[in-house]
Amino acid sequence: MNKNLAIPILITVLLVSALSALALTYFNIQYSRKGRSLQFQAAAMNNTRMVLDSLAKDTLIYSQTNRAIDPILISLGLKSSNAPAATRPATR
Amino acid sequence: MNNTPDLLSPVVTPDSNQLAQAVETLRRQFQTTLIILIILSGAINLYLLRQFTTLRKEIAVVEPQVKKMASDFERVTRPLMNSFLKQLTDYAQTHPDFRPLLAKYNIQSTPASAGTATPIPAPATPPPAIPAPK
Repeated sequence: MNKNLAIPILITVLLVSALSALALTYFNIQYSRKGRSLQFQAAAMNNTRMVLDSLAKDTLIYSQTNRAIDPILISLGLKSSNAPAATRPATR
Repeated sequence: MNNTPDLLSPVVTPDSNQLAQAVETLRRQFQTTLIILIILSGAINLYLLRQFTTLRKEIAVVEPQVKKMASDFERVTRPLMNSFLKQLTDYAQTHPDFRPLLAKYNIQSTPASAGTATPIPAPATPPPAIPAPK
């Protein structure tokens, strides 16, 4: 009786364990995808900010030779209206 | 004349004792295999469970941060960026010397009548370093 019961019990335990491994793998994949998606979102926003920042710096450099762009920079707060020299980067 | 062997009768007939022993050995081997498989499966389950717990904790921390970042970006940065780009593209219409700078960032300076600036596409790599002013 005991010998006859051992194998079905072991097979049931193995089946439950395999099914739980399957479920855990599925949830791991889902969470990994979510994490990657969040990472991608954050990277895209940081990248856009970085490009915008670089464009603003280039525009500030351009404004040193062409003052006509100053109103745009001043309106966005990238340059102060009364101290233009303050935004000038160090040349040496 | 009667020496022809009887083909219907088995040549070797193992006794029931031997058969029972063989069955018992097979049963033991099968049980051992099942136990080894359960141990292996349990180890995989433990690893996956730890991985799952870690991932869940990390996402629980990161998700609100990214959501806040995205909402801030949409609320503050995007309107500012669109306004800045629109003003720059409008400026480039009257100042052609500014167009190369926009071209460097892949921003198309559309005619002023079009009314909208092309937003900055998120490039895969950052633009080259800004040269130091001379």
